[in-house]
Amino acid sequence: MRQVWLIAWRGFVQHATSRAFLFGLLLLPLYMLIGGLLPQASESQLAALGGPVRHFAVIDKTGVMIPAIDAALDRDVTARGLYFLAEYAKENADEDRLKQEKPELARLLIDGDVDSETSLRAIEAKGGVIAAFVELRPYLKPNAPQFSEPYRRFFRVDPPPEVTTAPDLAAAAKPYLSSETLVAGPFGPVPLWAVLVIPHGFLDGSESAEYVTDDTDRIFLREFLRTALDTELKRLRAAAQVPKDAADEIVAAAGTIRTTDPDPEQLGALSNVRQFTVIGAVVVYLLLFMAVFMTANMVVMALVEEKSNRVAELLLSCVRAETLMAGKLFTGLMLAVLLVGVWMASAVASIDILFPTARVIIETLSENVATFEKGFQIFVFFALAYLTIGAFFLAAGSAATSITDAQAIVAPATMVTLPIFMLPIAIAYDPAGMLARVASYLPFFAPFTMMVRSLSAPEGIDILGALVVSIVTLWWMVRLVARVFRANLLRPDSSISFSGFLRDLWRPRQA
Amino acid sequence: MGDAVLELSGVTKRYGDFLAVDRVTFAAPKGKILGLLGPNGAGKTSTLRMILGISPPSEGKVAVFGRQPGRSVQRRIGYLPEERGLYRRMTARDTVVYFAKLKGLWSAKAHQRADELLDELGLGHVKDRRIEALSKGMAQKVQLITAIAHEPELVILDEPFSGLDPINQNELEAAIRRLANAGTTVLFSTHTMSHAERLCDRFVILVKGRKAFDGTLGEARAAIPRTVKLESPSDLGFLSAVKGVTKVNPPVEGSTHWDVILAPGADPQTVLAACFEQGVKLTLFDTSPPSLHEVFVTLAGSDVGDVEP
Repeated sequence: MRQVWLIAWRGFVQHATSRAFLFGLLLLPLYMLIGGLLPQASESQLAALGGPVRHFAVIDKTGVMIPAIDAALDRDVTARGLYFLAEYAKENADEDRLKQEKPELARLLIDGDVDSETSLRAIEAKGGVIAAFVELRPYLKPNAPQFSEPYRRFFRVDPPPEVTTAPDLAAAAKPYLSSETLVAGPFGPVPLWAVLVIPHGFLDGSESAEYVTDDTDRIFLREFLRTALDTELKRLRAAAQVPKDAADEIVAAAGTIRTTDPDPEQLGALSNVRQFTVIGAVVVYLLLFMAVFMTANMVVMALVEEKSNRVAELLLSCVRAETLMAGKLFTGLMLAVLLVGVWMASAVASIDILFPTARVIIETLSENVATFEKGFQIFVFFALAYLTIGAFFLAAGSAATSITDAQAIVAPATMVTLPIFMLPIAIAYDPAGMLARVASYLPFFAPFTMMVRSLSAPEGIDILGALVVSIVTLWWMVRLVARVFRANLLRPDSSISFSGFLRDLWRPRQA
Repeated sequence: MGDAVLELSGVTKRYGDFLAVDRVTFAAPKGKILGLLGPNGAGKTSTLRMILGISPPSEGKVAVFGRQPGRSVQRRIGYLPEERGLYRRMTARDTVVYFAKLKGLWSAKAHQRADELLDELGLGHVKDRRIEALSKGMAQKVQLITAIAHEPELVILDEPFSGLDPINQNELEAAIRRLANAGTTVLFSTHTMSHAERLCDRFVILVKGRKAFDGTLGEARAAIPRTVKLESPSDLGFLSAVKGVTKVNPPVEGSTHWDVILAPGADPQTVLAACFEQGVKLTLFDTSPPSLHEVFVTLAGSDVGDVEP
């Protein structure tokens, strides 16, 4: 075991400190950064236009809340317009001249707190954002770009009649929320994002409002509506239109709008939770997959080099072929773990920093692998997957006498193993389905399948079965491959083809 | 051979249809230097690999320290392969330490041995340099050190002098002698006869996978007919009639060198006396014993290959 460790550690240090490995290690995080910044740039353009538009319906059984919501929507447009106009003014206006000649406008746009109620009232008093822009225009720097007022981000539409009267509102709203059926929007048919139901008892605090959506994680609209209802309830209390002793309870009720997803199991067009779960599993699996391939190739190439420069012969005079092979395999495993660790950390950091709205991916994955048992389970299946495939690649590498030969053998070997890698991607969409369960018991497929399934909650019997199948497969593979490895390692001058390699697997030539 | 460290009995090695080693039998006595001689392709490396347990024999038996080669005796053997290969990015010291640890030394002892041997072979000043920054001679010395750092009882050197300049060859010869003086058994293969002649206590000569000779230099010389070397412008063909002379090889065109082959036990002075009787003028009369190269050429016949004197 000491010899295995010595070989593994030396190989790990050699590779982990090589420029090529560090390049591969850091390039992916760089791609993540670039890949993250590009959409961010386009998102900022979108944000300048007010971001994506959401349409929602309100079924207001109190009869007093819709005007309040509409007013809040108008104020939202004004508030966002003020924010963008202030940003525009700071960048494009001649501040000194503006402050000198229009001090009130300068206080509002340059020095003021655009989020404050005072600023909002001030711009409303001026006649809105466009009126303020007209006042600002003479003070703009030459060649200042055009100011675009942000789009309205939320639109209230009339609820479909059959939804309004349906006894099961969630079920009735489902086709609309999943975009199967569109509703009439202000400029044509649009998908419905959510339905807010305000019951009669909402005003006196006896009932909660219900927010029905197919995407429980996009919380912006819900929070906007919560604030609007909250504000209106306070206003009503102030106007003494509701019993004073019930007011606190009412405000609390407004703060806890119940959220309903009509069919959480169904992958709806807007069901981001489900999409994020699948995307997360596929991304994690692809990182593991890339790590397996990259490190297996590195170890194979190093072996070919050792074979061609006869270090292999020197090593074989010190250790048995099996020990050497085990050392090489563990080198690759350690490198793969390092790669996955750095890549995962980069992915988490990228999502956290660049895509705050997609943090649910991290949260979902964290929930799934947060426990030691889960983390260990994923690691075990990853190690079994790596060792099985790594052994196959090492055997292929041992048959080659040069890097060119190795590529000629490893490339078709990769194609042969490709289905083993690809199937789990399909399984990620349905990790508890029949295909997933069957693949968990198939030799070679089992550890890869369980790497994906472990990110959800596979059944215990499947975990055990896959573990047994994976260990038996690995044991058989190592025995088979060790014979080829031993036979080929001292044949520095005789190269074989891929078909010759396959023949060797069944009937190795004598060393 | 009672005190043999190594014994091969009827060892054969086949690679498919190719017969690399054919029923070879020999032994290496403890504390002696044994030379394995032969041209390239004679089966030397295959034989060494079987002794190391890297490659199993197709037939016959190999015993190292009385045991089958493999893990149980691996740590008692040091090996310098024919074609040198080291990790280019490792330092000389790390290389020695790494292989010494693989051979079972603990870290502190491995470092101590590496420092001692690198200093002893004049590499102390480059021990922290990478292998790729060393000259070929230096790298070969490092490789020799990796073979002996763990203080093996049997050292196997495959073509150790190959590629070395004369100064480094002399240093290597001295190192091999030191090993033998310290009680280490040394087995080395070579196709350069002068090194073997100077170093070896015993020789095994392989030709086309078969053993052609096994014994000491004296035994080797005695095993071939004695040759008297003569140089004369005259025709010495009459010597073939002299008693005790079995053959007279005339000079090649442009030369005056004659080889007179004697029967076993024949006295070279009879040749000299016959030349005097005939009044032949000699410019050379050499009765010195045959060199190992000559022994080899005689034993190998037309299969001398790339063997160097």
